[in-house]
Amino acid sequence: MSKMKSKRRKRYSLLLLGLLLLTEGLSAVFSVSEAKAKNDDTIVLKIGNWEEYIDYGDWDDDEAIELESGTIMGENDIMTDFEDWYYETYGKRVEVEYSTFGTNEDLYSKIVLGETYDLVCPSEYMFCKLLKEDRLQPLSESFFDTSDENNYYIKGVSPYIKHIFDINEIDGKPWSAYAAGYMWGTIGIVYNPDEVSEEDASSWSILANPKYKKRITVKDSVRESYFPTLAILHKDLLLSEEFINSEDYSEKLAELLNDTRPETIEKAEELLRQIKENVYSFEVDSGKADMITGKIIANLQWSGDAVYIMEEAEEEDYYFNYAVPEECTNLWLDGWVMLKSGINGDPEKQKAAEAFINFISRPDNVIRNMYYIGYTSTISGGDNPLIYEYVNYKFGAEEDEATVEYPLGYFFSGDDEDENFVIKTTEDQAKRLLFAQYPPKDIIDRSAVMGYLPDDVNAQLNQMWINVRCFNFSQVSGTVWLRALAIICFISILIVIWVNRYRIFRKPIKPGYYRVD
Amino acid sequence: MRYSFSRKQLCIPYAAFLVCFVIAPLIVIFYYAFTNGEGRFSIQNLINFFTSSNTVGTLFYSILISVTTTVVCLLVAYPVAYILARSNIKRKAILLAIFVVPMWINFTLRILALKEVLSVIEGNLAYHPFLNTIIGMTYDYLPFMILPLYTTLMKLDNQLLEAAYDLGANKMEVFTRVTLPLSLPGIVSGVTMVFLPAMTNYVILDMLYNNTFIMGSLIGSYFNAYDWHGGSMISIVLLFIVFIITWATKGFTEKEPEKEAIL
Amino acid sequence: MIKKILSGSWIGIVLLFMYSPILILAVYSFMDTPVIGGTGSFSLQNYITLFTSEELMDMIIGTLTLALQCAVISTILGTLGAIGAFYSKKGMRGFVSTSNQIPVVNADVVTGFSICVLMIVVFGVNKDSFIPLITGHVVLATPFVYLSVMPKLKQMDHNLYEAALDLGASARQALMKITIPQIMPGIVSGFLLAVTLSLDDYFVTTYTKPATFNTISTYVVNATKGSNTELKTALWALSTLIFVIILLVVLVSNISASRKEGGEENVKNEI
Repeated sequence: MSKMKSKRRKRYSLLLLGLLLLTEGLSAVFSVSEAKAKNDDTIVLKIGNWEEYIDYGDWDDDEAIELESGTIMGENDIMTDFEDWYYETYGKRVEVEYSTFGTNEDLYSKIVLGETYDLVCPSEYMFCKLLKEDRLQPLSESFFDTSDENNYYIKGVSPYIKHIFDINEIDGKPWSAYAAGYMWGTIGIVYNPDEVSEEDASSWSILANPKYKKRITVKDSVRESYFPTLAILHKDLLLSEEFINSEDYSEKLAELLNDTRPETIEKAEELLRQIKENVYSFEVDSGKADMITGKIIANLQWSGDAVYIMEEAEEEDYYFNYAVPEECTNLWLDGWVMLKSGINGDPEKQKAAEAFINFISRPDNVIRNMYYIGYTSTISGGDNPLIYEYVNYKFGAEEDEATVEYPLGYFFSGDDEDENFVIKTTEDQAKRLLFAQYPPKDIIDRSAVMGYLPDDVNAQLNQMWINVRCFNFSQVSGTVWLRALAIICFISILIVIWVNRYRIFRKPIKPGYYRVD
Repeated sequence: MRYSFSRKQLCIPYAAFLVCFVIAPLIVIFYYAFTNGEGRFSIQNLINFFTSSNTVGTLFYSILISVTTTVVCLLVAYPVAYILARSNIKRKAILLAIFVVPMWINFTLRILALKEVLSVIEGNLAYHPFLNTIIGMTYDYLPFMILPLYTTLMKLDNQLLEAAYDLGANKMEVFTRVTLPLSLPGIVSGVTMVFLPAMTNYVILDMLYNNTFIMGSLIGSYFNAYDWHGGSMISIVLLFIVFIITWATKGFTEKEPEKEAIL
Repeated sequence: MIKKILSGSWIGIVLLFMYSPILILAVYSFMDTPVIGGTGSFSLQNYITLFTSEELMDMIIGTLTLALQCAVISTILGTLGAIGAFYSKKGMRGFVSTSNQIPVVNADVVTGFSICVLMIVVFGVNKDSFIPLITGHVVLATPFVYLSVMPKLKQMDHNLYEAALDLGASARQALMKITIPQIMPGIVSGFLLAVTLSLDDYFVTTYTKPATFNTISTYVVNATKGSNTELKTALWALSTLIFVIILLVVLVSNISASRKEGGEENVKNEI
């Protein structure tokens, strides 16, 4: 190695070292300066939400929604807008630290493992669990004051949703004292009407139907799979006239679909095993893509994602439908709750958190979110007609199209007979997009909410799930075992021959030579 | 005298680090594996592991996948490494680098794309979960197998081979009696790097629509259910398997360069 | 002759197998369809999103910074450890090399899980401080640095060090000027290996990362429940870019190196 080369090498390595130290130094400086930039006055709000579940802004100009009462446009993301609004309204600075999670169980893990969120948006069964474990901060009284013009939530929440939140309680504490609804919907089957008949799609037993073997998917979640399984098990009962017409139908339905007795769990396990063989996959997110590219023809899906699939598919000239099975459906709700561990008794933080809930319940923001993520908000607007105008704008029929009437009074004013809230829409929408976003009353009537399950029951359910997913020796049939055994014998014979090849394939000794082994 | 700075002391920071972040977690895992909910010593978890058909079945399935993947990887990688190492191409390093570059692209993205290729070939992916898993695992771990094999085969002394030829061996014998045994350290290294990860990488299974749990997914699900004890026990079983493999292959690993036989 | 055809075609098949998915990603990165397998038309939208999306840029820079930082820490720690262990007594050396093997052979899931349990459950360290994340990555990468440096130490000429000391150099000078340059290839390959491992890791990251931080792998796997797939498709553009950049770097460095040195090339990527 000449001197020149080694000098150059030294210079290069010094440069490299310098660069690396610079990176370290820079990142250290940035984190320190970030910390300094936060004054003691700034309130930091840590928010945890589902992925892609809020308006991130950045709309194109032609996406602006023009309604009678105003134009809706999403320039910035909601968090930035909230920070500006809070400063204008209350004169204090808030910084929002927004992060996301993938499933309710993930969220719970994070909370248990020390993540200090202030405001999170779990599904109903998860905030029940958090409430039961006394982790939630109750909403303050001022939150329910309808005279305060900034309390958009309490003034705008749909009477129907409010009713659900009021009547459900954990340990005597109603949901509404702790949680504010965000989005809601049903679960059902998105299907390709060319390949799947409407009749088949209208029953949960499509999941176990061998006609659609390996062409349907279910969700990779214990509760989302347990619910339809129970529905299949009790199909006959659920469809029987006397059950449907019984007086306490809703209570009985809820009881049936939250049944977690050991015998039921066992039967469900059996059925789930069959379903496991019958489905294309247990998906978390890939179902949407697979449906659009035609790999599957039916997909168990939440209503909001169903809307997304149908809209995307329309662009490719496929028309999918969304069916809510006749037996029953699950009415799911996502709600905002405050965590004690995050709020920590700080009144400023609580005020900021509640203000955030109110801000996103403001009708124009509601429309922004609904447009951006495709789900249905729990907010109906109250006295503000903006949201109803939006629904009309999106789903109302054009002048020349044949219309059907689609009453949504139950959602907007609590009275289903209310003439003011009847959308005149095309039959197509009534079956597809509008149907998915705002289900009609008769669907609501046969829905049940997933209840809270105590820890030991949860453990049993989890155990059942593991049982179904794990490899089971009995799955493998006798012929497969025999074949495997044959292969193993064959290979071992080969190995034995190989090891002893010199002894087996001895060449005869020529006369006069000796064998040297 | 020179001040007593000994090179031995250099390893103190690393040794301390190892104790804190490798040994200590291991102790914690052992603790959780061998205690029950009340914190008392118990081998209940171990018994549960081996009596539950779930865990035993999962273990069996994971080992099946790992062994198959390792064998397939070996069969694919060995010729590649052999051809590359023994060839006379001038820019061997480039060709080797081409095989290794995919490692730099995140495996999740690659598996996503592999899924597409496979669906074009196979049609409905869900009919061949096991096959797809093996293909996916091989795809992910192939560079890990090629590298050690290449390194070991490069060090192969040509003179040894020539000597064998001179002594009357034919090509087949030279390969089986000289090349293969001398490349054994590389094979062992490659196998170690593929076998265990293949037992625990459940992301590949999830992405390729294989619904069955393997050891990794089992740990994950115990973790999500806050059953530290069960999860730790599975980890201990995995460690034990690794321990056995390492111990069994000790005889085949790289010898000290000073001790290499000189012909 | 047949041998050449066979060997060439085998390499060709394996290369095809390894690269067809990457090529597919590359092709789809130039199209505007949100799912692989859909139809679409040529568009550079993904590349534009890649460079203008703040969220993506943050994530990528975060991933790279994490990888580089952890690699630096691992390299220093591992090199010092290797040198020290090499010169230590049998007991210490045995301890270090055995404990070193543990993260290598252990599954990522177990490593991540154990670091998480240790730091967060037992010690109560806050995940937001990035300490568990960095620790996890360093634990993952350092053993490989150690394993890269050790062979070079063994192949080193010991006499040079003694000679330097005899000629009056202090122990530190001798170390810096004699030992380190000799094992430099091992250090460099260890560093590169550490970067690769950190970039590609999923499991350790999932268990130890703070909530607001995402690396490429966690982002892709914990993918979206919602409607915006722009970021996902921009990642295809990213992978294509990474691929092209690395390929270029490899080609350029090899061509220039072989031009300078001629003859046999010293392969950097040794384990």
